[in-house]
Amino acid sequence: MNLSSVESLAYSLPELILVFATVGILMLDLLITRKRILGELALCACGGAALASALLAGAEQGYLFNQMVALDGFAIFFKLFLSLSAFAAVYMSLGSRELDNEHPGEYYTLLLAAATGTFYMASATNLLMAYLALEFVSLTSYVLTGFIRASRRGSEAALKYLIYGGVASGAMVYGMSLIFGLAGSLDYATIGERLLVPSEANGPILFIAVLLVLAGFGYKISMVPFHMWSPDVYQGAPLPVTAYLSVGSKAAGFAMMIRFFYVALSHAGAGGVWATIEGLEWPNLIVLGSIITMTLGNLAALRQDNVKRLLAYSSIAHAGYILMGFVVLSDAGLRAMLFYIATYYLMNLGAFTVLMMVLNNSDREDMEAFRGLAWRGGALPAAAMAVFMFSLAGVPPFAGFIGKFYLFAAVIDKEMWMLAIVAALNSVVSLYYYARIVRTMYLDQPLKSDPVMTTDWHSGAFAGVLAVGTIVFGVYWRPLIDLADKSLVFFRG
Amino acid sequence: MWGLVVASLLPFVGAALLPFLSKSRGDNCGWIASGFIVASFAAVAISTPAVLHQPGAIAFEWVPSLGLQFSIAADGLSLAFAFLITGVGSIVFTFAAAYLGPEENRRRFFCYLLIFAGAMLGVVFAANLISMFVFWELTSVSSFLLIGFWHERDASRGGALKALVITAGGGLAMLVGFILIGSIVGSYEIADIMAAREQIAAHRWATAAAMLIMLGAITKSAQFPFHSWLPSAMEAPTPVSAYLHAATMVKAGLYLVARMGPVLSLIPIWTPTLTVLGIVTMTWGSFLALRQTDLKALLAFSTISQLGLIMAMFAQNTASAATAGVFHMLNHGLFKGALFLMVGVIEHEAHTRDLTKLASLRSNMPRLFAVLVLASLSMAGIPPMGGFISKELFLEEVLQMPWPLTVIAVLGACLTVGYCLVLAIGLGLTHQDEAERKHAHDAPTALLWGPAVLVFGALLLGLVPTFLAGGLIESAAAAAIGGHVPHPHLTMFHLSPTLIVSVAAISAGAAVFRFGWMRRTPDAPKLVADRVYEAWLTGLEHNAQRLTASYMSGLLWRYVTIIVCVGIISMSALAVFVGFDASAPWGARPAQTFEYVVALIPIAAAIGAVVAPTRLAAILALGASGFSLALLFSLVGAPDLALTQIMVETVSVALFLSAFVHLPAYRKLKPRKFQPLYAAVSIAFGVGVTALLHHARGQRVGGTIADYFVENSVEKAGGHNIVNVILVDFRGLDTLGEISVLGIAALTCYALIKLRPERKRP
Repeated sequence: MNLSSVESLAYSLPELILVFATVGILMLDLLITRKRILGELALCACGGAALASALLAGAEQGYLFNQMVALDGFAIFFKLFLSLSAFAAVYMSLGSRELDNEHPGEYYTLLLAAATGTFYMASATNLLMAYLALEFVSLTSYVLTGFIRASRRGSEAALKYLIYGGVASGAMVYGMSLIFGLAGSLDYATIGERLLVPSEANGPILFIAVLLVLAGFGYKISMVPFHMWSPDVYQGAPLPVTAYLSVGSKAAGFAMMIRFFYVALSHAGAGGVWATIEGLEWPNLIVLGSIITMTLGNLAALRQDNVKRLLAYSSIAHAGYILMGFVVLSDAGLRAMLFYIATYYLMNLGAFTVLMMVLNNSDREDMEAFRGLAWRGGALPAAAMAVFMFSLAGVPPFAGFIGKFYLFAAVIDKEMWMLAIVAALNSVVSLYYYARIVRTMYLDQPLKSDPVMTTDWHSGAFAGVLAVGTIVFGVYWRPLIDLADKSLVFFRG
Repeated sequence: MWGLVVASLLPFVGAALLPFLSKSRGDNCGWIASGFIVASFAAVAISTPAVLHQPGAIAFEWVPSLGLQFSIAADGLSLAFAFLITGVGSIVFTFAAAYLGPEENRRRFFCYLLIFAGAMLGVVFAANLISMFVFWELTSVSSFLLIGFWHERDASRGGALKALVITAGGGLAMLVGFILIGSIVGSYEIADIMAAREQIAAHRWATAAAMLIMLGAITKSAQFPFHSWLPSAMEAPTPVSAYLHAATMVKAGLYLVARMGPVLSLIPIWTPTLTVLGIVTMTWGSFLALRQTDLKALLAFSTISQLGLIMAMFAQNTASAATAGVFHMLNHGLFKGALFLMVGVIEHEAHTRDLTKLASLRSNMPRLFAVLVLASLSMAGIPPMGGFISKELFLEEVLQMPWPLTVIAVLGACLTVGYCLVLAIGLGLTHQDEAERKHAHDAPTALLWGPAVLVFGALLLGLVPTFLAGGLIESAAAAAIGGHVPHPHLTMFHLSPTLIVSVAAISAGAAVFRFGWMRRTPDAPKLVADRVYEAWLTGLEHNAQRLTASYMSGLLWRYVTIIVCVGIISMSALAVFVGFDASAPWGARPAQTFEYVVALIPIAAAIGAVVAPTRLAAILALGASGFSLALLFSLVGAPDLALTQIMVETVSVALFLSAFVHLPAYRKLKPRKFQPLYAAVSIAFGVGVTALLHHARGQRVGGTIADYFVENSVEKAGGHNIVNVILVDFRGLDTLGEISVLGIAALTCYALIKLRPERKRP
């Protein structure tokens, strides 16, 4: 189906919920004095969007808004995932002491607006639409990063983010214009068709154009060499925003990248194997990117004492791991990516939640704030954090291991030895610094001066739910892999 | 079979229930935990006859889409290990229950210990490589927590981390090997893999898979050159060390080699490499053991040495060698468990475990000393202990090896006798201090009966081996070679060349002890492997930090430079490898002089913006560049574009100017000077983009959009001025968007002007 703008609204319930909530919160902000309601409203909106996304699963697949966005299994998977990410970000914001006394109306408005943008990033099938969605998410993220006005670090981070983002998206839109010039269309499926037949267009210019577009994607998913903004921004931004950037916005970047590269620049063959279009060996480029990304990310995290910054570097490294599934050009690889992104949600958000609890308690986010955490009242957060750390390192029986297993299996199946070896070595290096946190929490003795850890029940419950999820999906991951399998549907007209 | 399912589940159930069952101070949790492990032992024992008769398997559906089952299989090999895990486990648990005082957090300790035991049982009963790997890594994680249990000691924390990094890292390599095997066979079930062994051996991935799996096994079993984690792990509480060395963790590597032996020994690299590594480890470990003064360190190195021996046996994949391996594995579990527990007692009573400081045990702790001597004799391979028989079997194998290996192995046997005599005789003969004598007292029975039972087991293995474990050993050895094994003739009394070698080794060992052991260095030198590990680690950390600091400068302009450089590099790489097409015409019509002049203005303005001394001048220069571009657009026939450009430029200059009022004063921190690097980067980028654009001309596949507008302008929109029609009709929505953007920008300007910092009134 190919619906017009008005007809499409019937299939845009998740986005509509978010948009109405965005505007509603902005209005309500002027009327009410109990500002906490705004956050709760935003929470409901995200929950509603998740529900509405899930309900779309049975709907007919097709194009919406005059072929600007697609409604397919892939889009629905990410809509569900992205609304859950926004949900987590709002939930964390409600429990964060950092954001007390800031302007909740504007904050939640921006957060929900960013979430709406990510929905379109995941479903855009047109370069223009993709660019607009990406830019929309970026603009809101810049403001969210510097949202705490008294924080100098936050302001610096926001400005860096803005300028860096400007450069990256400038390069991206330039590359898009080259692709438009070469293929004569902005629509992914059409581009794919026109470039499929080998012609003069499939030459170095196309390669450069793709490289330029990659700058935009790479910046969103923090892939080397477009990753340099992320440590500063992750460290400077309020913690719930950091968590959202590292999970939601990154996942949207991956979704957009997968759709562009697989629908416009590849074609599906038999047996779940894909092939690139003639004369454009983009996987080689991204193999290099994946290797360098995971290595640089892990090496940088090795000696990091600020846990927030450590998680930023670890998030770069994980982008490198996820890219392993991207380069193998097979359904198995894509499935591994979706699965990994979903497990990454659990473990990374979990780590950020525990970090927030520690930050709320001690106003510190460095390694010393975790010293002997388990022995001064923080048994639950410490246990949860240990689960998240081991899972991030890819140790069984946690979900992160299963995710890595699928990625490795996909890569080995394609006989990409170099990538597999580098990834395995990287996992060892990452184990070292993740285990260092566990060691600090469990094996180091707290000092007298370390405050007793007090936990509020809602953050504790959230961390607990994520930890249980990490364990359950590490042992019984069948529902998740089945979901990822079903979601590998790209509508291409 | 179901008995074994129960046996593997019991420790996990125990760990989950322990916090609820135990009293608030955890007084009784040691006994509760012991109850669970003893029950598990009983379940293993009850299931044994049936399983030995008919090996079995049970499978539960796990992840069908991946062909994964959660399956449990048992044969003699699994049972032999399970006996050690639960049997030695029962002793260790009950010992620990009496050994740990109320000052320790016993609930946590026994929780970890139960998980550890359960994970080990999981490894040996797993019928599937993936579930085996899961339990394998679980042993690494739980041992990490156990080794670090006495966390006030610095060394124990370092040891825990080292053990985790080395074993889990090796585990990852093993996982890659498993995935390779799984990809070849199309299944991760061990039974399927056994059936497809020829196919695996013939595959071109075979060698890689074998090496990777070997890496997993030798890191876990602390084989040379990865042995350094085991001595560091001795910082753990003594019962943990006993359990770790005798029955669990390090034995997992042996299990893997034995289990996968039938498949992997078909790959040529497997047997020679593992044999050499095992023999070298054996001799090197016993040499290092002889140089220790710390009792626990001595035992740790002796474990490394003994594991090397067993590893070399399992690597042969012959009936006799496998028999020797299984038999010695059982033996080692018994005497090593006893020895470690006794060292715990000595430390408990004498408050030191330094060989040079300990007073004579013979007079101070006679009962303990008697047990200690028996255990040491078994380790040395002296009759009537079980160790004698296993050493005979070992020597028999070794004598058939190439002579350099034989020499090294026999040397290892001599050194082994040497350090065993240090334990058996050295501890009995040390100087006697009257003052110490008053303090010391013999070990309490509560702590002594555990080691005594283990040593009695080792003695029985020597006296009636066939009766006690003949069936088990036969079945285990058969599983380890994947074929039939003749009923083993295990006997103490025989005459053969090995006996001569054996006697010679014992005498040489005695000589080593007599003349060598006093030369032990008081502070054992750091292990080479340890130094390598530490140098590697600090080097990695140091270089990682330097690397990160070199590019993560926090300076935005450097980041942007890096991105631009990546662009330049990729463009030049393309230019070199593919080549740009320079033959295309440069334009539809030659440019006129006037146009050249206009084109120079933005260039000059851009240079001006770079060198401008003040912020205001830079903004104005930037604006000039933009406005002159608009002029150029209108000259080449794009009036709409020119108009848009003028609008955007006006607003952005206004925004710039009004926003910069709020910024702090423009300060020059250091004099600006010409930087050739950045000039070169800028010029290269400009040249690259120009070349790119030139090349891009005429490479399009689709038609230009202009034709569409020319054709449809009159017909669909009824207008003859095509530019107008495009603006108000075809792209009406775009125009609306542009107007709103400009409107918002204007509003922002207004807000910024309103926000101007208030001047202080005089």
